[in-house]
Amino acid sequence: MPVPPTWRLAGEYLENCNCAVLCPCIVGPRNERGGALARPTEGHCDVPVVFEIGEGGFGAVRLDGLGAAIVIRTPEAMAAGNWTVGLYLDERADAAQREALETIFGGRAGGPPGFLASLVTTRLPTRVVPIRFEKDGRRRRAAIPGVLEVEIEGLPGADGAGEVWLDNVRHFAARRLAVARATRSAYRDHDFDWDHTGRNGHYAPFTWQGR
Amino acid sequence: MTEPWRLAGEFVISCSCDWCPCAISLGRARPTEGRCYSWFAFRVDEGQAGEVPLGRLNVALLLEVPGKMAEGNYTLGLYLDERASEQQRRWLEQIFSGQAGGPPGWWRLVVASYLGARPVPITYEGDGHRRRVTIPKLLDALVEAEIGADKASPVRIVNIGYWMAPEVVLARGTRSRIRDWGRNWDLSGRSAEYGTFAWQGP
Repeated sequence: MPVPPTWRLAGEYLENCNCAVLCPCIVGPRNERGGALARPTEGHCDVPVVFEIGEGGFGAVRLDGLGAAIVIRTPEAMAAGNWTVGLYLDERADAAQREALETIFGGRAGGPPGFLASLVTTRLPTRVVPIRFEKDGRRRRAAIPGVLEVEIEGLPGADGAGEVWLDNVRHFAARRLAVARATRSAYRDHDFDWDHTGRNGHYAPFTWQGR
Repeated sequence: MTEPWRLAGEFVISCSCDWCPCAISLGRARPTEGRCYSWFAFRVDEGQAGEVPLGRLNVALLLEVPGKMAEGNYTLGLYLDERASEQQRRWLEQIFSGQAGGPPGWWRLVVASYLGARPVPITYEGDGHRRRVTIPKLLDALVEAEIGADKASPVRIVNIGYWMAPEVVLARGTRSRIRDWGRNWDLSGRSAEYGTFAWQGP
């Protein structure tokens, strides 16, 4: 009998990198492991990625309604590694939930974050913070007071209602991503001070599992 | 010519970009090499202009754009299926040069230099995720889709407000050479796209 996954998360995510629209890492060439070989439009990648877990659990620990964020700096092509990564965990999580979130998003429990873990050389101290995530039509907003404020808007689609989507892409968050542009973007923490207003963004529902 | 027309079929685009930001940004992004060298090929499966049937004909074009696509200053040359009658050719030239309106009509605003239209044999073949386009001595191309996360089907951009089509398959010019009108471009290994189109005008 197959062993069931230890954890599963389903929710919404957004990201906002420093590339011009469209980020070449999504559609450019890949190595055999699926890593992006394209040169980011500015040569390096600075990207906050924010998650809102609608429903999820790690073993017996429920994670419904909690947030988490990852900030990533990659000095060159994403597949070249040498990443610096910082984690933010929802302050509403209790000790067991926090431990579960840090295990999952830190890449120690497989699944998509586990795939990324091998590219990381520097881990910044994890912060416990209030994280807000909002979904409103083609807009997605995320905020961590005093640290992060991002609003992205999906590029209007041909149907006049929805957004442009990239389908069947190799991306750790989801296979189907809305293409968006940041209408507001500020991140300041550790030694970083980013403003990606007008730059590339994506959002999507995500479903992950691992063990 | 203001009579109504419609065309439907498949198209392939092969360009000089490493990966094409133009379709998704609707021409506002800078091509990855600063300028765009490209060719387009169309397999018209069904079509009609006024009383003239336009189905089962092929069209191709050479396009040179010096900067962002939205900023214009295009140089355009057309290739029209040599099997087309004179009347069909006249319509195809009107439509693909933008003069007959519809989706390609915006080329009237951005084409600064028109090289003309040559009647030539154009072969357009496809199977699975590959497309082959050939014009003897001028164009030789094999375009293959980028296979996506499911490892079986292509990466697609969907619901896009692109004048060519609302959905395109991302591809690469495995082999893509065009040589004419003083240009000699090797776009092998560079970005490509294909999809189906359904246009009407004026």
